[in-house]
Amino acid sequence: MNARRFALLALLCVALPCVAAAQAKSYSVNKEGSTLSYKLKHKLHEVVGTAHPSEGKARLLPDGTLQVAVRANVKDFDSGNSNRDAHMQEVTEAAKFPLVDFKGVATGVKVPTTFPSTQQVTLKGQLSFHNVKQSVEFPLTVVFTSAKEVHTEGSFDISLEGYQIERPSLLMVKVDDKVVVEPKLTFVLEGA
Amino acid sequence: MSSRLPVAFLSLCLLSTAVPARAQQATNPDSGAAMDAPVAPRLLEAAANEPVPPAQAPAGQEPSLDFDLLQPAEEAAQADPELDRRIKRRRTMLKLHQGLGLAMAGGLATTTVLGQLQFSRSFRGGGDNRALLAWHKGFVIGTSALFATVGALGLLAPEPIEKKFQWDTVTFHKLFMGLATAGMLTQAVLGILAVHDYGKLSEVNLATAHQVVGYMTLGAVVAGVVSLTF
Repeated sequence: MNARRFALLALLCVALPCVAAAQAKSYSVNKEGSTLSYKLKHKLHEVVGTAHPSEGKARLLPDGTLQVAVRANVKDFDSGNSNRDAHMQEVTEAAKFPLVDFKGVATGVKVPTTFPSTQQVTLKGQLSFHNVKQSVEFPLTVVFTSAKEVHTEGSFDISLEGYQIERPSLLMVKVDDKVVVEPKLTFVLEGA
Repeated sequence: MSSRLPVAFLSLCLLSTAVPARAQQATNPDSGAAMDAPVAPRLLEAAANEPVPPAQAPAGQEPSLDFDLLQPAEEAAQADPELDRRIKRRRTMLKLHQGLGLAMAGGLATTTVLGQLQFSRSFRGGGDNRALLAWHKGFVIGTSALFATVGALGLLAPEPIEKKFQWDTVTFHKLFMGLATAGMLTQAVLGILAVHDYGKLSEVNLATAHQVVGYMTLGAVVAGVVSLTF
């Protein structure tokens, strides 16, 4: 009986480090330190609008898979011109579809042993905007600034018409269909 | 000897548990206080609380997006049908404001050209032929009606989205169009007075003032339109 108890206890002690090592790491976005920007071109000028994410999480699985989910309120985007922002909310129907959501996955992300450490990965995911979901894929730079903080930067293009958004016009000239989206996100290890 | 073996094995096992925890503490110096707690119970608790990640994709297969890290979108923000209705009304009114505004600017430019031609004929040795005056008046009436309509559309469009004041392009647009409104009113008064004083010496002075204010009004309208392009 004692031998059986001892064997169970020994097995538990051996298994514990394995369980700990195999745990996923969960991160929360640092809202103030993170931005989501869009760049929109018109024949006469370029507009840059920026917002802080309203919510964001990332999870790094033991096999190096990085899961990311980020969300922002459409009304939070600020281009430095309140009327233009109001116009943007009108064309994107922000009252009906108030959120822009991104969910994506990258593979081959490893937690480094020294900091800072930079890794280049490809993030594949879905962007939900104006009640339309579209696949996006873009190179993402992952910088482990410390054991507790990860900074990510990337850039990808979307099509306004692809998201069924009527392109706004100025002086009867429509803005370009292409919009460049640039997420710059800082994640902090949960429970750290 | 046989009674010491389990003790030695158990010690080795506990040591193996403690080493990764110490290593993590080394990379995470801020967590020193937390690491003072017994390691094994904390790891067990953490393992129990950690949500199980979805099944990982086999090699050569795309990783799944079947995971939810955020709260449901319905809870994060609600659609507002009333706000949407007001936004759509604003869009319709401002589209008309833009289209009719450009037509008004074109009409005002034509009115100015006609007015200048008439002024040259009347006061710059053109034979005092007043044939263009009727055309000028016609364009004045049409342009003034358009100007009032365009202004009303801009001013009466609902503002469903709260905006903080800032000196932006639309602020300058409003400023220039305010000046243009003052110019249009002054033009009407000066034009009527000039026609009223037909043949008198004061007619030239009134017509000249009408001409100058006319160019200033056209300038304010052009500046109002151009300011929106930045």
